[in-house]
Amino acid sequence: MIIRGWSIEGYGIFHEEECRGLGKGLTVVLGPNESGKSTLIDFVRGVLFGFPDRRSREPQHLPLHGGRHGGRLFLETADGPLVLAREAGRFHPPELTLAHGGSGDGAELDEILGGLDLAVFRNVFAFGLAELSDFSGLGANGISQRLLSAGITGAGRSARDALDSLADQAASQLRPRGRSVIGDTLQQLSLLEDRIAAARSELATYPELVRDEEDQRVELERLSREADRLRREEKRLERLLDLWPSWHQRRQALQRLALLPVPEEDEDPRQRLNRLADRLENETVRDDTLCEDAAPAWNPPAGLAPLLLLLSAAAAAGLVWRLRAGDLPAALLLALGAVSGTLVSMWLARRRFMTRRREAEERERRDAATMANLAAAARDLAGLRQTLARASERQALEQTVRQVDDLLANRAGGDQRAAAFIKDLDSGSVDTWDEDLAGTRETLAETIQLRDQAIRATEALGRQREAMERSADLPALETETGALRCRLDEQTEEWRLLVMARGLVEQALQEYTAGRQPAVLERASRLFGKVTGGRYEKVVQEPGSDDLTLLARDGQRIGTRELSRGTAEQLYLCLRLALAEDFSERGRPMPLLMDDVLVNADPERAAGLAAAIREYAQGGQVLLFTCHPRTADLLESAGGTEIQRLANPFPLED
Amino acid sequence: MNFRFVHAADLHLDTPFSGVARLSPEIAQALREASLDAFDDLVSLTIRVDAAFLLLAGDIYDGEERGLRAQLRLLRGCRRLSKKGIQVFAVHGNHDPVGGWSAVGQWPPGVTIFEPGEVRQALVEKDGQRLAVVQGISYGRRHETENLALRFSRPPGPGLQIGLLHCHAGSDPAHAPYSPCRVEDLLAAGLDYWALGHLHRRRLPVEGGPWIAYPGNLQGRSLSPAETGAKGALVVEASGTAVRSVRFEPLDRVRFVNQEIPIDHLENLAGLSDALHSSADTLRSEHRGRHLVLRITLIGRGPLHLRLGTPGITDELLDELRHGQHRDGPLLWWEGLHDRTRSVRDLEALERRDDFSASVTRLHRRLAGDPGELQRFFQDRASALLPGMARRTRLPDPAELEDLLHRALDRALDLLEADQ
Repeated sequence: MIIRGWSIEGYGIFHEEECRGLGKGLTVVLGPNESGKSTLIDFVRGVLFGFPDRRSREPQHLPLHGGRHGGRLFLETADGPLVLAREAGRFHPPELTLAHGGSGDGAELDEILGGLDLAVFRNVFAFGLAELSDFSGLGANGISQRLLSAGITGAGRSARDALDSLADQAASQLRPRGRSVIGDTLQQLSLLEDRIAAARSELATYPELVRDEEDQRVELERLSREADRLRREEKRLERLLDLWPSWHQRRQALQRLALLPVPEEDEDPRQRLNRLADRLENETVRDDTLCEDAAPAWNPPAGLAPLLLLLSAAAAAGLVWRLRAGDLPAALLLALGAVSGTLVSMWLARRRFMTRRREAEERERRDAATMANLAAAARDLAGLRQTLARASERQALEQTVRQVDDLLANRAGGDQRAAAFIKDLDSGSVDTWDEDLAGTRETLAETIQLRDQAIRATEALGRQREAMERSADLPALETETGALRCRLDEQTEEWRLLVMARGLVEQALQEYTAGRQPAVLERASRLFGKVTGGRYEKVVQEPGSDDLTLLARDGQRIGTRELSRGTAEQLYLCLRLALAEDFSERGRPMPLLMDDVLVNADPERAAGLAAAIREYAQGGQVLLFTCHPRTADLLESAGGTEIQRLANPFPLED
Repeated sequence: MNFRFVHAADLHLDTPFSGVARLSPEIAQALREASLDAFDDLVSLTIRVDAAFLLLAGDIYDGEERGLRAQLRLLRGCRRLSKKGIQVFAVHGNHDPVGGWSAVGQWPPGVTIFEPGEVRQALVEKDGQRLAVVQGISYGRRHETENLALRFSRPPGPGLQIGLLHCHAGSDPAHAPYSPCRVEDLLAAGLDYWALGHLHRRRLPVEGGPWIAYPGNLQGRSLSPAETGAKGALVVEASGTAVRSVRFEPLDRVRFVNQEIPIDHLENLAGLSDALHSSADTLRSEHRGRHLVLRITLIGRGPLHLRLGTPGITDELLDELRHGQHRDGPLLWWEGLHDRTRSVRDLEALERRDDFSASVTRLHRRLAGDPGELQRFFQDRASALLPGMARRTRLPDPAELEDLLHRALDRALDLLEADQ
């Protein structure tokens, strides 16, 4: 395909601008600076591949002088001439008017462009000053990379840049040594897995813990029971020791009781005492009458005897009363009082009688009888007194026994226990008990200590178990692990994506280098040989190398890093031209648009470049835009193909 | 006599959650309690609907070591039911075969845990009348390969005949064949209702008498397909020896949701953010009252694809989404944002360009058409580099590998064409 001309309706500074009659070979489009060279190149590109979107950062070139935004290109293919019209804006499809009068749309256009799109067009068929001026900013490696990629995709980001970027990203995701995203995650996972293993084995001890706690509790109960038993034993021994004196007393009382004669049961002492009291009363009454009859001879106080008698009578009366009440000791006392009072009063009466001789003789006999009666009564009384004394002693002894028995019953508990206790009292010895008590107390103290330890141990185990029951460490840790694994999956996927992407670029590059590069390098070698006047014969990429090598005529092999910047620029241009030629040959030939590529070259280099361009133009259409008439001259002087000069395609600004 | 019962399975009490890449403390707490809370709700539901009994069809615990919290919570629930006079019947499954240690010394009255070895029967009676006969058998080991369904048969006598079993009925490739059986084997037993467990996705393989029912798990556990959506138990209404209806009752506390958002018509990140928020609002009202764990997958082709390829951009978006979360009410946790968008590139046109990018695209096409070469291509480059990595990661299956290849092409072209 070649461009025959254009018709611009409105684009940047252009308005109603038309140019026709362009042909194959080299066309130099001469125009001063700012005259719109790049605008024109953008226009051609825009009509062919579409104008940049409004959102694009590319210049829009809105019409400054009116007219519809866009225009037409006059093209010619093997099938004949055609017109391609396009208006800017995304709703305007290209309009294709074919030679035979038919029309077409995107599909036909695609056919005409041979599948090329803007990207390739830019990389292969549009070549600007900027690329060469970039060289000054590149180091030897950068230039070498640029040269290498010039033979592959042309300008733009090279495959190697893409490879490096993907490799960097992949390495930050995962690398065999040093830190990486996946490495960190793996490390965290491994730590967590250790913690889980620990938590799991701890949890596995739970049943054991429950068993231990139960065992400990059983032991605690045993110790508590033992302590209780010892405490009871201690109390028992203390009581034994405590009650021993009373028990001893009781035993003695019983021994004494055994020695006391058994009281005769033929006559009740009360009857005897009654009888005695009656007798005494009789005697006393008789004595009273006697005393009234016979006054005493000597002069004891006259009222004494009657007073004594009165008292005796009272005592006798009391005696009767007490006897009736059954109070033997009191009756005995009263009997004694009555007897002795009567005796004394009788003695007084007798004295009175003696003094009263007259009556005395008469009553002597009666007195003697009375005296005999009284003596018998006194004897009786003495006997009674002994009986009563024995009874009293027995009573006291029996009371002692009873009191001790009561005490035992109180202190020793129920009957059975009391019996056992009494048996112990009876058979034991104080010394043994003392010894036993000391031993028991010691054991008790030890047992209590053990029991307290058991309480603490049981509580500790319980706390441990409860803590384990409360804790949900394991599921929480496992969830955390799950999260990490999930992240690891994501990270691994990202890494795989990166290495796959890198693999695609790398392998495509190898295949591309093996398949396409030799042809491109072949062409470049030829062009470069011409440009350098035959100094270099061949441009090759040696296997495994990431650099191009130049074979010099003298047999030297020179890497591109060793080239001067000028020579590198020439080589670059040759590579670019070779690439365009390669594309043209493989698909449909496209016009090559160049923008002032020679402007910065020194005269010698410029001449070489001009020769290379002329060489290329023999095979296809080249539109070279320049603002330097000198460039046009230079190209012209390089010879070869015809040169069309487009002297003033640019509107003059006024 | 009319009565009802509740059928649940795969409780996986105190289960660890998997496949949730990132957690906030709040959602981690909610997840931690979710399975136990859902079980408490199951007990409450059983009491509330005045059910005659509760059936638990295996995998009550999540592992042979069984969670301690899980065991104690199960015991507590059984005590609550026992106090109300509601019987509980349970079998063990592959996740909790009999033989694991037990923290439960004594089950309360009315709880029947079927033993492994042979199918046993238990009766449910009310007012002297027999309501149902429940037959069941537990797993004695994790990999129960015997077809246990064959051991069941209908006993003579009145009452609804129920089979309680943890098994894999029919073929579901998503599950390992634990006690595999055919639906025909189950039907042959002549029971009225098969209360099954094992499949986490709720389904009724046979309906309308007899019934074969999988209630699904009680609480979802991850974002994998079988674990997403509403989870709960079945409330079964019975009359004599006929099941009248089976109703699903959601009981999950946290719900896992995968949501795909197409980017085809989205112009920029702001538009995407709006789309995500409105999607979240829809999901909130759809799953009212439940915490949501939401994984977004961006799909489709559109101008946003290239923007989304910027490293870190999805993380930034996630941060923004999580930040804009309102605090009250159930949580919505943006678990992840996965970019599966494709470039709008026309690959056929690209190949016609005949440049290097075209070569890359051709290579991609060749690999996509040759699974064997793709596999080698992958293994040569993406074999595990670090110890422990191979053990902890899964290799992609052929379909995943092809998807990976497509995305790798996009990634490569995004870089190669970056300047254009």
